[in-house]
Amino acid sequence: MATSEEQPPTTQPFTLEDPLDLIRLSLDERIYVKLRNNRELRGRLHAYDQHLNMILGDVEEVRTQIEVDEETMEEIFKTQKRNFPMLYVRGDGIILMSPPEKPTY
Amino acid sequence: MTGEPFDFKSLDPEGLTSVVILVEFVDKKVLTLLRDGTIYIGFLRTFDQYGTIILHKTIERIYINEEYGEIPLGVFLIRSENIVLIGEIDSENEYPQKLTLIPKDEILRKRAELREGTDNFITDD
Amino acid sequence: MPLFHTFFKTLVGKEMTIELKNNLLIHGTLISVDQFLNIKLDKISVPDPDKYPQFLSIKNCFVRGSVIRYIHLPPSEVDPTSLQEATRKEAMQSKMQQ
Repeated sequence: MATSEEQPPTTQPFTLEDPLDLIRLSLDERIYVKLRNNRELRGRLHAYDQHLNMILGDVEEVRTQIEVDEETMEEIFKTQKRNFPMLYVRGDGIILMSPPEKPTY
Repeated sequence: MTGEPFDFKSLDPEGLTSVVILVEFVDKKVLTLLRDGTIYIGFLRTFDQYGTIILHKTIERIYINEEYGEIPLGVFLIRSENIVLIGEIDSENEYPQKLTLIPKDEILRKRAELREGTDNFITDD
Repeated sequence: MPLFHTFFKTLVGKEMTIELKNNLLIHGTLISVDQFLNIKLDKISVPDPDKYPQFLSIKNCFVRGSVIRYIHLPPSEVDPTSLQEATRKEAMQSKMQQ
């Protein structure tokens, strides 16, 4: 028999039924979260609920502002960063979330 | 009121409703901040399960730079979705010490000027 | 079921900073929390008291849950592992109820 991935004894059946299941897979992983008002977070997901309230650890927040140079009409992107060891984020500010863009492996 | 204060927490030990939090403010003088920045100060008389409140002997306090003013308003019902926070007034620090209290008409005039911006900057001087 | 309600109850008596959607920061000690994650804080302070004279008159306050953007938590009071376990448990429970 050709070698393929071994099926470990399953304690939790892997069924992907709703989007929240996908989030469950990200627990204890670093994730990227896009928020309203041009804010982005990168941190380790420790908890979430059905409202997408979350607790993230080791978080970096990036705020982006676009300024237009009046003379050249050039768009200048300015960012501000903040770091938090542990952060509760209210779900109603969240637009999207996904694994971080730059994998750590 | 005499005797021991009523143990409100016993009404709802699990903290499953807002009752435990807001009931402690009833009949106290509170400062309410609304989403649009308005500040109302009055006695919280009642509230409902949504956090909608009724204030009694309400005043609106307007802060502009080093001055502030108060507009007496009476009885107010404030819909909960507009409320940002409700704070219990500390009777010792009720009036801002570093600021000057000015009459109602003056503060209203100053606020109207601020809101207009520099659009109607036509003076006779 | 109310994961975050239970979690915040474990933080009663601890200090934290609430960041509101209007960018206001309020630091204080957690007194109570309800199922809507409305929060009551004691011994409050704001970072720039002269800019916000309103806060000089109040020592404790109720903050509506819906106006909160973040809560900056003391990391020493949070155990990530038990949080993750509790989250998995609640996720499984709500699946079974569907």
